[in-house]
Amino acid sequence: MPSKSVLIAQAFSKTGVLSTVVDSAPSIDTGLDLLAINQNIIPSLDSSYDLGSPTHKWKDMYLSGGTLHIGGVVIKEDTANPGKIVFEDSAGSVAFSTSGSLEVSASGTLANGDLVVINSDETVSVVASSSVSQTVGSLSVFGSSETREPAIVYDASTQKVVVAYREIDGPHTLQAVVGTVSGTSISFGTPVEFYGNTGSVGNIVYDENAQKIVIFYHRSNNAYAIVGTVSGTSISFGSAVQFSTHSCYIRDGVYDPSSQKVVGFYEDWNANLGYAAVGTVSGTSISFGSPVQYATDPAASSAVYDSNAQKLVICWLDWGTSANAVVGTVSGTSISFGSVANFTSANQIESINMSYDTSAQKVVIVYSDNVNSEYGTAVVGTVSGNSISFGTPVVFVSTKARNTTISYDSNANKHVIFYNRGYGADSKFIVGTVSGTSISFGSIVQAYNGWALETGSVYDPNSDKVVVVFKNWSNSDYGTSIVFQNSNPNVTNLTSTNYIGISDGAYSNGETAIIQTAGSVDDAQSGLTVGKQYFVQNDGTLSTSPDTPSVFAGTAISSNKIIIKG
Amino acid sequence: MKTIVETSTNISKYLLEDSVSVVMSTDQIIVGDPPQFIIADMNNINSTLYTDITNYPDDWTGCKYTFNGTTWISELDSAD
Repeated sequence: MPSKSVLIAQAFSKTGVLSTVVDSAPSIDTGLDLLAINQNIIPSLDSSYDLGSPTHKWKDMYLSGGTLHIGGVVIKEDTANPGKIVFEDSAGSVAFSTSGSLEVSASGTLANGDLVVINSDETVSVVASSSVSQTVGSLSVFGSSETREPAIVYDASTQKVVVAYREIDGPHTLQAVVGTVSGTSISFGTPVEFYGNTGSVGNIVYDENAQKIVIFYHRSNNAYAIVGTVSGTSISFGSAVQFSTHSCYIRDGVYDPSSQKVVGFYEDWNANLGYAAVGTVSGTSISFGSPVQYATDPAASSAVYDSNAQKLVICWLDWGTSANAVVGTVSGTSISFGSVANFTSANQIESINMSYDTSAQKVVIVYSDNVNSEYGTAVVGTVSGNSISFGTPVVFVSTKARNTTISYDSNANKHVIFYNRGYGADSKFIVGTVSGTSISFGSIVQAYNGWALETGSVYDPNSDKVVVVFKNWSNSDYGTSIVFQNSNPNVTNLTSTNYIGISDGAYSNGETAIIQTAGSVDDAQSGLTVGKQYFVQNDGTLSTSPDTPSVFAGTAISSNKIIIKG
Repeated sequence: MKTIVETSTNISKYLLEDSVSVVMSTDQIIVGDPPQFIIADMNNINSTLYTDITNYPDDWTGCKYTFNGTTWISELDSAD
C-alpha cells in the first residue's frame, strides 16, 4: 500500500486515464467533474494501486449486477435467484452462493423441496431408501486343487477380501488370494504362496491401524504370524514371526482396535493348555509379547472384538468336558482374562464360531449341540466388565448342523449362518436377529446343492455382502466361495455426513440444480410445526425424531419453511 | 416321556421327560421352566406334541424316527 493517500480526483490525465499517482493532501481541487466520466478508468500499471485505504474508505459501491472480479473469482448477481450472489471461477462455473445455495448437477430427478445428499462424483441425489431382496450368488473357485481350512477377512483399506488357505497339490503349501465382490459374484486374483511347506491356517485378521492383514498359522510344530499388504488384486508379505513358546496347534487370531494390537491363540499340545500372545504390527513386520494362558484344552476356538466393552471374547470347546468363553483385556503387549463362563451343556461340539453384533452390542456363538441331537444352536452373550453371561440357547434348526460359520451384517444388523447337516448334505443359509439376550431366525435358504466343509465367512461392507469360503467336497475339495445378500427393506443413500440441503426447484437428471444449503430458508415443505427441530429420515422425509444415522435437517419457522442446517 | 414331532413328516425331533415344561406358541417352542432352550424353527403350527409316551425306542435320537402318536418307525436316512 502507498505510504500516503491517493485521491482519485487528482490522478486523471487529459485522456481520462489514471496515469500517475500523486502523493498529496486530500483537499486539492483539480476541477475534474467525476459526473462527466464517460469512459473506462484504467490504472497505468497492473496490480499496483488501491482504491481507498483502511483509513479512507469509499462509503458505498454500486454495481449494475454485472461483476466484481477478485483474482480469478467473479462475484455477481445470481440471475437464476434474484437478490442472491454467486461466486464463479475463471471457467464460469458456480462454486458457491452467498445466500446458502449451491448449483450442482443433479443425479436423478429432484423435486422442489427434496432433501438431497452430495455424491462421491460431486453430483447430488434425493435422499431415498429402497429395499434389497435376499439373494444367493453362484459359486466361485479360488483354489483349483484340494483346499483346507480357508479363512477370510475384509481389508477395509482396499475394499477387498483376502482368503488364506492350505493347498494340497502334491506338496502342501499355504496360499493367500485377493477377492473382489461385484454384485452377487466374486472374482479372485492369482494366489500368492506365503509358506512353501506343510502348515495350517488358524485365522486371518485385518489390522485397521496398520492397514495390513495378519495371517496366523501353524508350521514346524509352532504358531506363526505373517503380515500381508494388499495391492490391487494381489498381496505381498513380510517375514514370518514365531509367536508360540510351546509345541502347539494354531487356534485363532483377532484384532483389537482399542489397543491396535492383534492377538494370536494356540494350544500347547503337550500340556493341553491354550495361550494367547499380543502382536504389534509395524510396517510389514510383527512382534509379540509373551504368551498368556487362557484355557484348558481348547480343541476349537473362536474370538471376536466387543467394540462396546472394548474387550476380546474367546470361546472354545474343552472336548468332552465343557464349552466355555472368557473376556480378554489387552494392555500393552500382554493380555489378561476374566473368569471362564460355560455357555452350554454341550461338550463335544464339532464346530464352533462366533460373531459380534455392533447394534445389539452382543456376541453370538453358534454350535452343534451334541446333547440335543447335534442340532444347530445359537446363544447370545453379554460382556460386562471382565465377565460374560449368556441367554437361553436357541435351536435355529432342528437337524444336525455342522461346518457352521457365522458373520455379522452391520448394514442389515443381522447374523448370517452358513451350515449343513453333515456328510454329503446340501449347504444352507439362515439369518438371525438379536433382541435383548435372545435371537430369532428367518427361514432356511438353500445355498448350494453340495457339501461344504471347513467353512469361514466375512461381511464385506463395501458390497454389502457376506462371503463364505469352504472346501467343496462336492467338487474335488476345491477352494470355493459363495456370496449372500441379506434382504434389507431400508437401504438408504443417507450417511451421517452427506446431507447438504434442499432442492430449490424441480430438476431432471443431469440438469444443474440449485440446492439451498446451511443458513438458507426452504419454503417448499408442508405440515411442519413451528419451532420444532427436524431430522432427515432414511427415506428422504422429515421427522422430529432422528433416524439411523441421526442427521439434523433444520428448524421449522412456519408450516412450510425450514432453516436449513447442513 | 413326551415328543415334539414335525407334523408334516411325523419326524420326532425332541424326546423329553414328561416333567419338562413345553410351551408352544405361534413362533417358537420354549423347553423347560426356567427355559433350557428355545426351538426357533418349530411352533404350534408346524409341530405336534405327544405326551405320556411309554413305547419310545431305546436308541432314540433326533430325526431318526417318525411317530404318529402310536407307532415309531425308523427313518435312518434322515439321521444325517
